[in-house]
Amino acid sequence: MISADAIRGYVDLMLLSLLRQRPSYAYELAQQIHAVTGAEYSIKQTTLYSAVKRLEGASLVTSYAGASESGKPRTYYQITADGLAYLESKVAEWRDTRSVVDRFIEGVEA
Amino acid sequence: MNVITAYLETMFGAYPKTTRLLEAKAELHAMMEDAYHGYLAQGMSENEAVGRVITEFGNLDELAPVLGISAEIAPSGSGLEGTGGAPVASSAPPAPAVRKVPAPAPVTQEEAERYAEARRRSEPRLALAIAMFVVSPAPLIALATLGAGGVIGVGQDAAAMIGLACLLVVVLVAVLMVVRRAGELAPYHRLATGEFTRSPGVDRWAEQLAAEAAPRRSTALQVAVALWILAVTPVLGVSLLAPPSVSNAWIGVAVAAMLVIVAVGLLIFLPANWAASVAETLSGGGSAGRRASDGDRSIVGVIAAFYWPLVVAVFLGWSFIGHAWGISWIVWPIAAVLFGAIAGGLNAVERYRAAQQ
Repeated sequence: MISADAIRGYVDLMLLSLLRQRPSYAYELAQQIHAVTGAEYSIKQTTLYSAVKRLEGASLVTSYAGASESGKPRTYYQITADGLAYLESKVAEWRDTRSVVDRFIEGVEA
Repeated sequence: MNVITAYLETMFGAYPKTTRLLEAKAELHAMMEDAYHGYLAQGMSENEAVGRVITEFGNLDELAPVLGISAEIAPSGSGLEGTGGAPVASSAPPAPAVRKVPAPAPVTQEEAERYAEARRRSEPRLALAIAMFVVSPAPLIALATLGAGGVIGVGQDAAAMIGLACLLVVVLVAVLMVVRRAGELAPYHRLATGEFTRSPGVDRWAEQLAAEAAPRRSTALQVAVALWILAVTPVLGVSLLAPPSVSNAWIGVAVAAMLVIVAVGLLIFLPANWAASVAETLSGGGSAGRRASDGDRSIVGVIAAFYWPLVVAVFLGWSFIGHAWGISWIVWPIAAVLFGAIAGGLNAVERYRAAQQ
């Protein structure tokens, strides 16, 4: 089980990489995250919502009004060109971070 | 479904209804509704689905920077908001000091969940330990009277020694279990002692948790009370039906059987009581005040945990010191009926209060 603190900085990365594939709405994003992470991490609704709003505020995603199959109004989110560029830079940063941390923890039993 | 609506109303109720806030509420509501129907489709019961959705809600503090409501979310400027998640830099000036001692840090959803999980895991062990305390004198009583009656090929003293050894080992193991459980719950000491500020979200969640476990708990309580009332039958049977020569030797075995039945009752009831007990702890935080009805919820569990070992102590003390084996069994039916009356009375009071609200 990964703590919410440990993964907090990477929620943006997870969301942007999901939105890179296709526009989506909050609940679907939560489900996709759950499908990938399984029991190791479950995202809270407030975490997800504040993350997409933060991304929207930074113009990395845009939102548009859509509707569910049953006609309920639903907000869809779509990645922007800025978002794609930001995702690439964050992915590079994550690879560097991981490689640096890995060098420290090499040989640590866990 | 309306539990989810009510939950969101509670969570957002304290804040001004700005456009952004209403938008957030509407979208979170849609997410929760989708998740709820998703869980129902997976075959969960309505209660389970609602509980799960509320568990996954998270913490309103996280929304503060996004909605621009930091000042409203942290009205007291206590500076302790960061305990649940990433430290939120609060630029709000400290509110005028209303009380000298700052309120204790609020209980966070994560902390509450970890505490509940620790209790859920450790409660069967506590029940086993208490049951072991109750059962511990059984071998001693059974062997001593059998030995005295010449039924087994062991003298009275040897039988008493063996019984005493069993008693000490069982008590030792039970004490170790209790100590280990205390160690596991040590990180949640501040919750157990009420040194925290209640939060509406955690309150709701805890109530939901208790409500989910309530049917199971009440069945377990009924079975346990029935067992406690029936526990006296072996003693009554041996002392009333068997001829004196037989009953003198076998009365100890009957008493041992009675202790075992009492212990089984405890094993059935106490593990089913954890959710009610957790809900009571989480709603016992100091600064939000204590609601009277919350206090009764798990008191039956507390009473059961102390009451039956105490009854065993009274019974054994009276029997050994007063040599009153012939009459001391009367403690059991009295204790069982009294316990039934206490539990029933508390439940009735609780139902009455619930109906009043």
